[in-house]
Amino acid sequence: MRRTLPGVLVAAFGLLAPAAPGFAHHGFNVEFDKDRCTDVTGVLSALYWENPHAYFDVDVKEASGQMVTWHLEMITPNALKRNGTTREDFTASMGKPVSARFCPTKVGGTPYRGTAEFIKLADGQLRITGQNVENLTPAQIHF
Amino acid sequence: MKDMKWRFCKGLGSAGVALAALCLVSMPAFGQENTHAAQSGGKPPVPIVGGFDKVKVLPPGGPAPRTADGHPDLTGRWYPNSSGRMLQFAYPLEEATIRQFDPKVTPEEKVAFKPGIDAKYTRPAPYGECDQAGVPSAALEQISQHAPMELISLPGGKLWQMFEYPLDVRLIHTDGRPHLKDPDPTFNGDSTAHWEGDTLVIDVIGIDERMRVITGAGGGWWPSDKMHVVERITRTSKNHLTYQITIEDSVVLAKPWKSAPRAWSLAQDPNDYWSEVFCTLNEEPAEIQRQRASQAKDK
Repeated sequence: MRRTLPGVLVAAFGLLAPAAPGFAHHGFNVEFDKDRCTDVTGVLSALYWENPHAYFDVDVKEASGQMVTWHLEMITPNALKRNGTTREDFTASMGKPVSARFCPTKVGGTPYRGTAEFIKLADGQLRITGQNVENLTPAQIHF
Repeated sequence: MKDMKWRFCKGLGSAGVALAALCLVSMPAFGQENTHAAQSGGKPPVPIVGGFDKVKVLPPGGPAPRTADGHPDLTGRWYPNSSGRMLQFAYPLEEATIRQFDPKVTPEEKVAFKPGIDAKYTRPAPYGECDQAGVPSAALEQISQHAPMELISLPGGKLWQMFEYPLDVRLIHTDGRPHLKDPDPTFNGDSTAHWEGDTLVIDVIGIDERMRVITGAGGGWWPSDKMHVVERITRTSKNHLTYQITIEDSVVLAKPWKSAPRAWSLAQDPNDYWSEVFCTLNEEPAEIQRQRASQAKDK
């Protein structure tokens, strides 16, 4: 299920062919690069609240001025919900600035795809969205 | 506090991906927290949603309740830890709250395969394939998956066991009846159980050979039709139970593999809900295909 806010720019859906751990059944180290994890800030443009992985999209303006859409994987909706993050939390942030800590695909993987460790939605709350492969403590996360 | 591996590059999103790459390259591999704090403008850290700072090991909560026949009542929703709720490894929790056993106290041996067994038993699982629900994996893999288990004890010698992920429903007869004479191979097998004191001992045979065995301790294997599983569930108090599993397989294993008595704890939130995690493999198809092609090439 994809949820978008009308009028919000959603770019590069060619990249968003249904891609998609909590219940990890595909390997982090196979697909994602834990040495290139980084922060991203942009506009929340889509939500896919489905099993086994939820996803969100965030539209980001590159230095060139081009808009790109990062498609970022999360854990399962049930794990997100039990740990205080609901679908409503995301929909309330749709079209608004959000920040995330994520790890991109490895070189050769699908561009602008990654797995999100943490997100800060428009309400300013920090939320766990995936594996913390960097072993960050809460005090080390400043968006 | 653990070493920081943060490669901070504030404003990455608006600065763009190219700059991000430059930034990543230029950043030291291991920063210092105070440096990071300075870069973040001195903003205080934001609390993480989820109440993880309140997580603790549950007290016993009293004796285990009992059913009319006098046996411990196993009914309840159980989480694979000692805290009575779903947890996330992503938060730096005290080990005792989240682990299922202390390897220093009750270590688990590595699996010992029979020398010279057919490679089919140790072949890898297809990349990206969802875990198959069944015995013994659905219970064992929760050491890393952290999904809840629901047990419902009913009069007449029935115990229903459900897992949220992998989605599983299983009937266990607790009246000590004999196994079926010719059980059809099923992923949960044919289960019959009896009480040894306050421990329910479940004997399982007839497990489908396509049921990949996952112990949660890394790796996995495919069983023969000779696999025999013995499970021992003991509700040690109102809030806690232990679940120990022994796997025998005269074709595949050199000796039985025994799990530790793994800890489970009673869900404490009265509003905790039962969800559905039906694995639909919704990852990036191209990525899955790429990894499976690579897997085939390596054969």
